[in-house]
Amino acid sequence: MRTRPTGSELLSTAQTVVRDEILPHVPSEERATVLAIQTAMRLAARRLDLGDAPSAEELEQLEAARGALRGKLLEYLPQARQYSARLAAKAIAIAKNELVYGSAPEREELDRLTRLLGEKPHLASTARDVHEGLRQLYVRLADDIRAGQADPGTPAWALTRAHLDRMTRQALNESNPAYLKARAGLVRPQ
Amino acid sequence: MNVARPGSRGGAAWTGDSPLARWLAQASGAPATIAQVVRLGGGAIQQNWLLDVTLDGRHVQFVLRTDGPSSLDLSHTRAHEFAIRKVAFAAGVNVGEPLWLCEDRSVIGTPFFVMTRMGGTADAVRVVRDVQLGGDRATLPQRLGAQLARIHAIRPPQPDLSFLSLPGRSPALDFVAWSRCVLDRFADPRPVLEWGVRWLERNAPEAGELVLCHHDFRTGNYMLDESGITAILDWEFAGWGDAAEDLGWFCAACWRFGAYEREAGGVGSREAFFAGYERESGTRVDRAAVQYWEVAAHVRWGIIAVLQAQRHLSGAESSLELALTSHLVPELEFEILALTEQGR
Repeated sequence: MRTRPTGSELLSTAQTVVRDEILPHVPSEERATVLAIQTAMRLAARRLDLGDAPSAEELEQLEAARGALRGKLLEYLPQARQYSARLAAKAIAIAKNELVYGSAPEREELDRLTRLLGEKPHLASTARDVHEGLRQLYVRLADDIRAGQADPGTPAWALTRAHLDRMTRQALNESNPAYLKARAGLVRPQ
Repeated sequence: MNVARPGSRGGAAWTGDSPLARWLAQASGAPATIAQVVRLGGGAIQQNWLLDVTLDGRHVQFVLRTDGPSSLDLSHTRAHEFAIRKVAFAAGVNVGEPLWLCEDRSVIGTPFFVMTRMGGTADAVRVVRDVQLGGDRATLPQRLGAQLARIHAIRPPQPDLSFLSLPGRSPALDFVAWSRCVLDRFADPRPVLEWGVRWLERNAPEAGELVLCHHDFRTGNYMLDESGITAILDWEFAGWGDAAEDLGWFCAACWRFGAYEREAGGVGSREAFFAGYERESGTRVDRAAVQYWEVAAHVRWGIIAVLQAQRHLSGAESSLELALTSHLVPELEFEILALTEQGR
C-alpha cells in the first residue's frame, strides 16, 4: 500500500473537483478564471510527470490559480464547495512546491542515506530511480530503527536522528512550509 | 447546512410514509412522519442525518447515525456504538440521548441508531477562535476535563459493554504492536513513525487502572453553544484503556488547530484541563504518562492519516480531502521528533 499520492495525482483529483464542484457555480463572466486554473493545473501535472522544471510564468499562473480558489471565486460557491475550493488550492500549493524543489532533495537524501546506512552507492539516474532507491533504503532504515540499532547509546543514534529531522523538514517544505514557521519555537538550539 | 444531495443514500427517500418513518413509529410507540432529512457535516467514516419528525403530533428533531460508503475496520459497529453511548449517557456525560437502534438492513440499507439532537457546533476552528462559544471560556478547559473524568469513571466489568476486549499486557505495548502491524501493511515505509513507535516501546509506562477511553476526545469532537458543552461526539473508537491515553490525545499539538500556545486542545492551559479532571475524578493526573501518550497520539493520527489516504489511493473512495490527509503526516512526524528529542 502506498502512503502518499504524488503532486501530479493530487492535481488530477483537484482537477475533477474544479470541473465538477466549482465550475458549475461560477457565472459566465468568471469562466475565464476557471479555464486559466485548469490550464495551469494541467501544465503543472505534465511537468511533474516528466520531471521537467517549470517556467517562471507557469509558477506565476499556478500561484494565481491558487489565489483565485482561495479568493475571488469563493463568493460564488455554496459553503461545502468553498471547502472544496480550499482543498484544491492546497493541492496546487503542494504541487507547486514539488515543482520548485524538483528531484534535487531526493537525490541529496539518497546520497546521504546511502552513506548513513553504509550501502553501495546507487546508480540512479531518473527521478523515478532516485525515488525507488530511496524507498528501498527506507525499508532498511525502518527495520534498523525497529530492531533498536539506532537507539540512544548506539553509534547510529545521533546521525539517524539528524537524518530524520532533515527529511521531515524537507517534507514540510513541500507539504506545508508555514508549519515549520508556526512551530519554530519548538525547536531547541542544537 | 446542506440539503441532502440527490443520488446520495438517504435524504428524500426517507421522508413521508417511508420504511424509516414506519420503523420510527414502531420504535417510539407513537405515530411518526418525517418532514425533512438533512445531511449533517462532519464524520468522514460515519454519516449523520438530521431528521425533522412529527411524533405523536409534536415536532421533534433526531439525529440518525449510520455508516458511510467505506469505513475503517477499526471502528465499532453502530450497535456497539449505541451501547457505549447508553452507558456514557447514564454516567452523566453530555451526549445526545441514544434512543433506538435498528440492525434490520431492510429499513435504510445499513444498521443505524437514532438519538436526541443536541445544539451547538463542533467546528474546531470556530471552537478555538470564537470566545462566545462554550460559556465562560476561562473555565472551559476545566469543564472539558470534568467531562473526560466522567467517561473514565466507567470501569470494567460492564455487562452491556462485554463486546469490548480487555488490553493484554499493557495498553502502551498493545498500541506498539498495533502500530507495527499497520505499518507493515504500508509499501512505503515511514521511518519517523517507526522511530516514534520504537521510542514508545522503550519508554512504555506501567499500565494504569483500566477505564473507558473515548479514544478520540479532542477539539472537533465536542459541541459547544453559547452556554457550554452540549455533547461529546464520535464514540466509534471507545474502549478499555489507560486514562492517560485520552488526556495525551486531547493535549497533542495536532489537535490545537493552530493555537499551539493553548496546550489543552487549543482552548486553554494544560493545567486547567488537568485541574478539572482531577476535581471530578479525585485522582491525580500522571503528567509523565500524558506526555508519553502525546507521542502515541501523533503516531496514531499519522497512521490513521495514511490509512485515509489509502482509501483514496486504492480507489475505494476518490476524495481530494482524503488524498491531502497524507500531507499532514510530516507535521505529525515533526512533532514526534520534537517530543522524543531527549531520547530518554
